[in-house]
Amino acid sequence: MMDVRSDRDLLLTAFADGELDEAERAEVEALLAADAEGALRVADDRALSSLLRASLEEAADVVDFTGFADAVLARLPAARPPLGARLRALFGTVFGQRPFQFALGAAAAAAIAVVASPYLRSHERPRMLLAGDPSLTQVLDLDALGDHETMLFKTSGGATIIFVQESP
Amino acid sequence: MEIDDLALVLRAKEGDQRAFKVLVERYQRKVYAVAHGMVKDREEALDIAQEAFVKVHRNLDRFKGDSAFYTWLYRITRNLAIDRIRARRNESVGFDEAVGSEELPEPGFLSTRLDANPQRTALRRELAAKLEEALAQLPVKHREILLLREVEGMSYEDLAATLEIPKGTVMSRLYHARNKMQKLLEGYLGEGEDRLALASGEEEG
Repeated sequence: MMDVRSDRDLLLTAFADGELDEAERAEVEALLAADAEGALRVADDRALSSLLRASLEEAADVVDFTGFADAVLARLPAARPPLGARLRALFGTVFGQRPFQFALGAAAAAAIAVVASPYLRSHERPRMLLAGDPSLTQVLDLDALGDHETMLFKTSGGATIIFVQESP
Repeated sequence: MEIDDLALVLRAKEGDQRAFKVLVERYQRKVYAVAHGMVKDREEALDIAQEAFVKVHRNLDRFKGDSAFYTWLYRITRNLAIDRIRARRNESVGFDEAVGSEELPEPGFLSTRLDANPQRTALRRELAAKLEEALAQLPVKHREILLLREVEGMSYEDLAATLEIPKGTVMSRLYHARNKMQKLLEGYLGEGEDRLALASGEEEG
């Protein structure tokens, strides 16, 4: 069990470390005003802290840490990120590329052309939704100018489609 | 703006080694200082520091962010250092052994002499050299708490989390650790002052 003296000493330690709340700090300060020995103990604790800190800092100062982090990384196993992270990395790269976005737009336009051309050519309801064979749709031209991209398609049914989109 | 530890840990968990490298560079010096304070050997301390980071990396998935990253890192460092001490010297790392007596040092022996001594820079320098010796004589539980407090400036709360002890124990352990250190230095200080009194031409820097 802790005696009164120990309680007071522990309080002084915490005071020296700045670990007391405002009320406790005020209480200790009042106590120290009338307790020269206590004040000296606090000063000793702080002097020891300062000496120790300086000494430990110096010990680390003499070490050159150049290459330390690389040496640590060299000891790590080859990293295989989780599947989610790998997929994000892969698609983040692919989707972020301009040619890919352009091709994606072209493919979408081709699909629209194939589906819509029967309606454009005839007032009759087409027997088939597709105007010819989708695999025979030709991309005649792809071009990018300023902030727009233009795509020119020809369906197997003979329709020519011009598709313009704003650059992503 | 500096990225906080938790954000770097999350990125490192996803395999971003650059993020982990930032963490290593952020803490390498202090981790080394703690390890060096524990084992007193430069090469061994560097090895412990490296091993601590490797171990941290290996266990990143277990880190949930409930406590600060550095408390976890220092806990691993301290455990590795204790293992080395045990293996190397069969040194006792018991938690109850006493160094010297529990007698209190003379109040003000350190602060007043440092302040009053006109050659206190020289005295500090000599004392700094003696500090390592004194630290090495402390039981591990006292050595580690002083190191974590002084190297990292850890709060009592962080010390409690790192060492997995109650806050009240932190306070009493620090108190006893400092008393022992001061007692060990007290003997030296008398001799040191006598030697310094004989020295000449050494002035305050």
